[in-house]
Amino acid sequence: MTNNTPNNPLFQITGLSHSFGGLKAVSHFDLTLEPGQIWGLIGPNGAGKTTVFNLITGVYKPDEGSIDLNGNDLTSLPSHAIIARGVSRTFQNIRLFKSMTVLDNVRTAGYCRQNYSLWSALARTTRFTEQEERLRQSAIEVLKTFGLVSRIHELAMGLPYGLQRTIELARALVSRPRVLLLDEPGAGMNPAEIDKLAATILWVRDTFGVAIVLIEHRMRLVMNLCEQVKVLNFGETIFQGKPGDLSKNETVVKAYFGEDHDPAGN
Amino acid sequence: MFIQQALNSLQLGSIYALIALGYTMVYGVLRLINFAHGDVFMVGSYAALFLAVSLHCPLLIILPLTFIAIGALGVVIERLAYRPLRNAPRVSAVITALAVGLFLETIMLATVGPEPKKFPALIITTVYSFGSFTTTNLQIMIITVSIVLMMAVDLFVAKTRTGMAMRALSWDKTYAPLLGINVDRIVSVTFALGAGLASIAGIFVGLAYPVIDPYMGIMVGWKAFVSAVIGGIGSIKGAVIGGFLLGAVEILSAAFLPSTFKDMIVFGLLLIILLFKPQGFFGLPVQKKV
Amino acid sequence: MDRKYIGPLLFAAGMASTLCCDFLHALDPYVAQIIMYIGINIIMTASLNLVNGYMGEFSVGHAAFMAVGAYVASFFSVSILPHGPWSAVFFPLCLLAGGAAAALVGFLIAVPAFKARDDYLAIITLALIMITKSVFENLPWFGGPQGYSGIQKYTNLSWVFVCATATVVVVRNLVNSNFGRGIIAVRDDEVAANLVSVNTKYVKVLAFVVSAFFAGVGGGLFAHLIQFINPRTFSIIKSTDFLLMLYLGGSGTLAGPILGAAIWTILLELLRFLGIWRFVVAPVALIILMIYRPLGIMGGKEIKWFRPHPPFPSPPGEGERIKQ
Repeated sequence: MTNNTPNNPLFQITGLSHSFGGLKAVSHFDLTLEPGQIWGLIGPNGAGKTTVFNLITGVYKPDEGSIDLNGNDLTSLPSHAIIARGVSRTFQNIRLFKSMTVLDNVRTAGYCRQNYSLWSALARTTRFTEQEERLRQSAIEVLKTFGLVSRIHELAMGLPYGLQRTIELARALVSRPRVLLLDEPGAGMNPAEIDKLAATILWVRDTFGVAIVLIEHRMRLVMNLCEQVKVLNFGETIFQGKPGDLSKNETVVKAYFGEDHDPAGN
Repeated sequence: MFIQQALNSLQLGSIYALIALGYTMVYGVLRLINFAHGDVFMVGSYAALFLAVSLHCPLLIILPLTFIAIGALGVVIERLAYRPLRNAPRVSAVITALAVGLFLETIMLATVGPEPKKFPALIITTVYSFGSFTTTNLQIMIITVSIVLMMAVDLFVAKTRTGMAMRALSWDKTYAPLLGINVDRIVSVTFALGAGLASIAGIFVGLAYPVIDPYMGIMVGWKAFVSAVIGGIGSIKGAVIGGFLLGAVEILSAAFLPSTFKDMIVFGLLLIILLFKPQGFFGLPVQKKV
Repeated sequence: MDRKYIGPLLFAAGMASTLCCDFLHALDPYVAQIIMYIGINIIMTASLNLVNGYMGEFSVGHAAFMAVGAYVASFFSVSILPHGPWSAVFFPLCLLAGGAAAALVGFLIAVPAFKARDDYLAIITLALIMITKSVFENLPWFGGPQGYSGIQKYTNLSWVFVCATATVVVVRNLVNSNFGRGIIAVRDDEVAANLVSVNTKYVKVLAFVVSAFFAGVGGGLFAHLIQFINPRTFSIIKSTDFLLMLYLGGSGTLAGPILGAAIWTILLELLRFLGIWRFVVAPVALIILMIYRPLGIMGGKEIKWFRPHPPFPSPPGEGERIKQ
């Protein structure tokens, strides 16, 4: 376990930029994370927030910039290696594996933690049995803490929407990430569910010791959770600071002009 | 010499293109690869043979009659075998298509026998010699009629209401019906058109390479499918370009290499093209949305 | 009886019967041949299931791997191995050689194939069939267009039984492992699979290579049963047969390929009195089945016996440890 100090942060993004054709989607995005920090990433639709997540997790290779986790350069790695190194994410539109049970959905994310060979799997060696059992218990532990143990053998996609989001969150935790990227985890939830989600996210942070970056439109969640926020507009960072200072910033207010919500957190 | 190869390529390419059009239109409208299409082409050939030999029809009658008859066959196949599976997993429809193909092959085998049959010469062949190359009136007819048909299809899809509906359906299956498009009717028209074109190709094959057999649909069908994919499946322009390209590759490799290498070259080249242009020449690039 | 003994017991019983039939000639040769065909078809269909069923791809190239296996295995047994009364002992080596060669071809095609779009795997594997046919037609050591003859009939019920069991067990163990979860994840959502740490490139190639290996073994068994092969034997039509068997039985399940292979083979035999018309009746029956049961006979469900330990009991309550 690396000891992270401000001079040796857990996670550092520097100068991340990417264009699609002629359109500059993300422009000089910087971010520094210490363990346990919760950042918010907000901005109008199309501002480039999910693109940042996609760049971090290797869906696209950034035109410029670098991404570093505990001294490991993640920038040019394929997605699965990035996740294996310790960056996990959830998705705006839930992307569970539709033919799998809850348990299998979660276990699949443990792919990087298994290191037996094909032969071990085929011959069912002790190494295989032990590692599989360990993964199974680990997955069940995580699901237990989310209250899903009674449903582990059900088809994940058959469960109610709110539970599906929880499963996706549980799945993201199995690979033992250091950094967790949550893409609109509160989408489609009513205020009571939002409060419960906020508590869950805080609990995840405390229990698993992860740093979290949260893309959200629900300001209630941002205000309650995030220590710092970054505001993106057209790919550029127009504000970085405490959530409470958002409504005082003219640029931010202008960027959101036309959205009917109160930045004071309702 | 070059012109000779070009003419031969155009002839073979026309045939592939006509069949490829059927694949591409059905794929565009239903996202289904109709693996029975090659066998429909083969049945078209036999239908024309029947008309010519048993009913002594002249070519001018055979062309439209076969088009209509096989077009109807296409509609019937769609209605009986594919429509019930419209909302089933895509793979089930593909398997059904394979089964339909097998069914057609066997029906022909059972009724006309496996021996290749000679297609009668329906027009008196006139050979035109131009020094370095020769062509026949048949070759010219095949090429020109094919090109006219392709242009007609293009016009049909671009300018008529039905054609517009076909395009709308190919872009968005979910919302097209909400705009008042009768999906069943458009799908039937698509199948009819595709099958009809394939039957014309069948007649041309019978005339130009005058021996036909019940299994010829398989090879020709798959090659035409490949043409449609090289051109970009779903694109009419692509099917035409792909067809001519494949015809050219096949003629040229047969001209310069031993015949046993022909298929290897054709398919090897195909793989190379796909490596550099994975969506074909005119296909839409697949956007990854995360 | 403890569930985990059922498998080995059944295998022992099966081995005993096949050995009896082989060495005591207890079975009518015609029936024995049908059973061997069923076994070979099970091997082909179960291996195809890995790529087409569990991984959700559409490969039509299985006949090409069968061809490679058939030719290489035959080449070994006819040209390389010494002839003599004990040469049958080397038969499994020939099969392994055939399987390995097919696996190699599978590897060579998988790497570029999976860079292409989904629908295009069909074309690429079709191209593979054509290219394989061309290669065997043109190489002098394999008999050329006239084909390869003089293959000894080393295939018997026992070998078919052993290989079929091995195929099914390997597929079952692979699917119920880390790699298997990866394969299914690729089918369900490849992008998401990558984003939960599944190395999809590796997993796809793995599935393809394992599938090709067993197809090669099946090819070797096939060649040493019919004793004569030529390039046209392994055409797209042969691939189509396996596709039909797979989807008839139900892809993506372990029992599906077994059922599909058995039913299709037996059905075509039973309908032999119809002559060529059986190839009309059988497809029509399949189409009707597809319309009413699009997922095949198994319908996407798995027989409990094929699921490995532990069996899945009714879900426990909260806070309980899951018992074996």
